[in-house]
Amino acid sequence: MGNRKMTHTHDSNIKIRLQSVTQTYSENESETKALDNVSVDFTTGKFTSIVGPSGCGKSTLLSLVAGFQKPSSGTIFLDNKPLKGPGPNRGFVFQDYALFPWKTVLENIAFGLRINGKPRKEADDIAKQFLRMVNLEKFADTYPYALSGGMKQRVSIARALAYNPEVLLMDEPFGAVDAQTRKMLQKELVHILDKFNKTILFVTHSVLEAVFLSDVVVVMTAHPGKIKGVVPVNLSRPRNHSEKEYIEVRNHILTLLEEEVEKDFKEQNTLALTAQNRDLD
Amino acid sequence: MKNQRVTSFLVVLLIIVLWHYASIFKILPDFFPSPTGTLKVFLRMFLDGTLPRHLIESLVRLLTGLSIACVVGFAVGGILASSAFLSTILYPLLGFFLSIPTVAWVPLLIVIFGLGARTVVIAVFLGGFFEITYSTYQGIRTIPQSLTNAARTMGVSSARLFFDVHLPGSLPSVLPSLRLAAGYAWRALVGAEMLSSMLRWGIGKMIFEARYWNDLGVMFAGLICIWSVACLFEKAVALLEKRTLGKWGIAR
Amino acid sequence: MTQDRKTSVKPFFLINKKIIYPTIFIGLLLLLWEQASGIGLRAQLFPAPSTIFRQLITMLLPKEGSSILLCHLLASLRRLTVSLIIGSFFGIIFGIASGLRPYIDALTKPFVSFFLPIPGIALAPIFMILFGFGDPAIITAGSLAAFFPVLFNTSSGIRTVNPTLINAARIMGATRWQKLVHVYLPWSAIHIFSGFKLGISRSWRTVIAVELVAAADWGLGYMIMQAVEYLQMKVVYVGIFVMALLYLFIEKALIGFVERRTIYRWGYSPEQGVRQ
Repeated sequence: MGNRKMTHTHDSNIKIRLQSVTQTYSENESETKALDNVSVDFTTGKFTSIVGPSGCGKSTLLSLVAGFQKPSSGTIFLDNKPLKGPGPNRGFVFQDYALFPWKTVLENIAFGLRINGKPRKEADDIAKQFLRMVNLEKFADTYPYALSGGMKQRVSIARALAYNPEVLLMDEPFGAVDAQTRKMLQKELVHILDKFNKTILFVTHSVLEAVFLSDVVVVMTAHPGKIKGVVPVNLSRPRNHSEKEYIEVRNHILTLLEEEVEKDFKEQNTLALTAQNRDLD
Repeated sequence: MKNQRVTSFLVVLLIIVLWHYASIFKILPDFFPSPTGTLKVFLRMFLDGTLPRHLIESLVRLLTGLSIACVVGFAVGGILASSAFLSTILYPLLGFFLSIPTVAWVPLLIVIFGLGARTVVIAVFLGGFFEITYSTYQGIRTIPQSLTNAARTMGVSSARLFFDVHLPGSLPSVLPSLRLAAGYAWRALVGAEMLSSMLRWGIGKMIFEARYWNDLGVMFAGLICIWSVACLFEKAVALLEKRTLGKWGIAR
Repeated sequence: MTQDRKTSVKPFFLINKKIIYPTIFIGLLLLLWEQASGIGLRAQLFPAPSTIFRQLITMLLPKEGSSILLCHLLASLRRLTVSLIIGSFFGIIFGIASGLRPYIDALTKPFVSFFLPIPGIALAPIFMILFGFGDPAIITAGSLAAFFPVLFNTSSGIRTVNPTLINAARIMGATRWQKLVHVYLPWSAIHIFSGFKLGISRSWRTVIAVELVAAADWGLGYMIMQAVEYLQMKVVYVGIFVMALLYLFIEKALIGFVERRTIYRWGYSPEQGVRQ
């Protein structure tokens, strides 16, 4: 694994590959490029975080891998085969939980199993196991509205894992909870994922979170979205925020980002001024 | 969304064309007019003054009854909202009256007030009154207490409180129900006019009488009028909403 | 005499102001009415509550095997039920179709825009020419009155489903049918309910209204019209009273029951909307 560019080979080691992927959105008369000719590989069994400033396209990237959208150009490969749409070989954890409000916690978790043909008893048993894994057994028959944000997210994670997908996609899953809950959820996540050997893509704003959780960190830039760099994190788990190497990796990533954030900031200011001047005319 | 407008227009056009051919090939029963026939009837009645006369008489009755209903409804609703005691004893009664279909009042009104225009206006009034009272009451009740308190600490009088806080604050509830109330009032109007045989003019009367001559053309003309008036009302209320709720940023 | 002590003297009722005060008030009103209506013409037009009540009981009790009041009531109910079944059934189907497919929406839009604002009773004469007196005219008008609100609300419910929830189902591999049943329909249940409530209200009003003009034998509307012709005012009052009770029952008891089992359990409340 190199520090900068990945070598493009047909590798059984590479679970997901993006090849020259561009995603453009046209709204009214302007076109926004969310992703610009992005090529990146995600190794099987590794936890990869994707960090970057707002607008760098990281959520779009995840959405494409999930199959919710099709790229404007370029191809996405899953297990060396082109991606054709969403499917149960991937699991997704949304930032706003996306639990079905009309199903109980248990029914939510069992949903993926049920619609893929598992009979009720079996699905419920498996769902209960995962519920236990996230320490929420007592809430099996509760409806989502009664749960706190942290609890909802744990149910969401259980739901995504229950049908045993090989890939887990997480879109800023801890963005909507408070700092304390966030720390706790991060620890729990590491603990849970230890039991499995899944390929994980984790989108986040927080560099600290990325370094704490992942094996590899992909750094992106904004306007348009491109890969700035790929940083491996070769630290042993459990990780300590105060270890020297931890801080080094963190700083490395922050530096990469800072350049982008500053550039982004200057650009935004220029854009805002231009817009204001235009309105004044 | 432009696409939708065009499609809708084309659909309407298609229906008229189908209708036209259906009447030419006598698929429809004898008394069913063709599109051109309907248009002719409409124009005839419009030009010789009968249609406008019917329409205006109906509208006058509607607006009279509805405006009285608004004023009285606002007042009663406001009074109910300001007195916990009154609202406790009167609320069930209000709920009861709201469940009575407006048209059901008409036979009673006919016996008491006769078969003329007075009955129609009163029917319209009843149709709008209960609904407006109810929604004014609810609207004022659901104004966040903090707003009322803020006004009180500034030392407003009761009258000021009503006009500057209660009235505008109740609009999110009242304006949508105004649509409903107008609907009820309109129904009451048409129903009352149909049953009041002493009337000479009025859209409801016009449609009902056409029955005796099996004149569907007149009925269609009447329907188009009714529809247009209902649309106008809808636009009027929507405009009112835009000028108030829209401006204040309170989305529905 | 202290008024406050009243509450402690009534152990049966929920010591609830909201029930006791209005009941007392209404009782007083009825008493006043009773007193005021002994006199002449007034007795004809505003019969005493006791007379009305007696009339109610007379009509309720079976005579020669059947109760007159119940026959009329059931006739109206029958028409309402049939109208609701037809109207809601087609309303939901077309609503789902228009919600999912924009071109169907474009097709139904002109119809909805035309018929929604028109009072059902205005269509009555047309149906009377086409179908004559009686049930067909009434039920057609009633069905249309229910159809359009249900259609409109169902389709807007389906169109406004939270896309994230759809994606959550997609990633698990849900088929189109599974998405419809497990995501679209439960989400739009709230809208469908309010559409249905509106449909019931309109259908009921239309059925009664059309009965006033088009019924030939049974029905609450017919009963009232007949009573007016024979100047039997007490029957008219009985009719109005029964109508109100019936509607209240349908709305609060029946629909409330269904709502409590579904959307209220999921966290929906009429004041707060959907809590997630």
